[in-house]
Amino acid sequence: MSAPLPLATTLGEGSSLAIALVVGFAFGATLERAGLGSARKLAGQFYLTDFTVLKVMFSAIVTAMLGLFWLGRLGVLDLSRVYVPETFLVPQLAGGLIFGAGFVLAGLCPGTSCVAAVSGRGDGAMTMAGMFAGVFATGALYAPIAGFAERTALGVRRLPEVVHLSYGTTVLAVVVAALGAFALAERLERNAHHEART
Amino acid sequence: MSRTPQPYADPYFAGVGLGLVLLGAFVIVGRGLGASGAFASTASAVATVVAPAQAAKSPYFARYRADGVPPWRDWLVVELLGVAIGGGLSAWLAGRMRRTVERGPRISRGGPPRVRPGRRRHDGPRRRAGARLHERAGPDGRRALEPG
Repeated sequence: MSAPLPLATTLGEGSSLAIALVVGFAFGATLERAGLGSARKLAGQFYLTDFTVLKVMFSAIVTAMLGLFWLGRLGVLDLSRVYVPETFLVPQLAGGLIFGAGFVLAGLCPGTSCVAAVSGRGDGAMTMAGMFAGVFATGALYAPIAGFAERTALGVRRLPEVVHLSYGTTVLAVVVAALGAFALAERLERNAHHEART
Repeated sequence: MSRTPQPYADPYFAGVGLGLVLLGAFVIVGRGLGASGAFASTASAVATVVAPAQAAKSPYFARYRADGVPPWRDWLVVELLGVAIGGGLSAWLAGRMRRTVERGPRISRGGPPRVRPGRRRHDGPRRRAGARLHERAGPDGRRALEPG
């Protein structure tokens, strides 16, 4: 039997939800440990003074990517059964811009706002409330943007197909990009701290 | 609660940890991590309960509303609940539980700069009148005596 495990059939609903709770728990705890429940820390990323977000997220991406690559290659994991969201190029670019603006304004994203709220931060709770309000408004007033949201549908796209490289080469390129980004981040952080002190 | 908060974990170490959680999610459930979907699922479920007729008309709500599954049994909602428990417990264990509002350096406490209402009411018109007087007086002071 190869993973991912078809949860709906092999496990009952209760077990599936228990896994959701455990996965969420680990997700929340790691975000908090890294300091990503702090809006100031997250905002520091946009001002190029604190690169924690980039370091945490890029190391997480590389770790999961290498794991998926090798598990797939060893035949443990059936990658074709891993869910990949579809690409809608233009609406997702627009969504990314809106998300980014909200991210720098609040200093939080959906997961981190939850961590911020439960660790006592009022701004985290208000960010969550704002996101709920936004989702409600979007759902209620969806008709005018429904057409736009379906435009430039490209289906499921993976990086190797987009850059026309083999899967292995793409993985290597992402690892090299991550190492380059880490080196740059360390340098910019050192400069920022140096400037702050003088 | 009042003890010194522990320093945050090394970002690379935390990142590898987060990557392993993400990998685990892919292997066990066949999908990645996400929190925004939980907001959409919860909002859709609430909309269905509060205004079923309108919610049924919105394809947006319909997409996030699994057939007949109440929100507390939605995978993403339970995942976000886990995020809250995990984040809260981690903050508590590290002595980082604080009732606070994080703000940027240029945001003052409690909104715009405070003006005492009493002073503002009496001060405003008087200052404006003074300014007008000053304007009318002009450099030689004669214009102040001229009628309206």
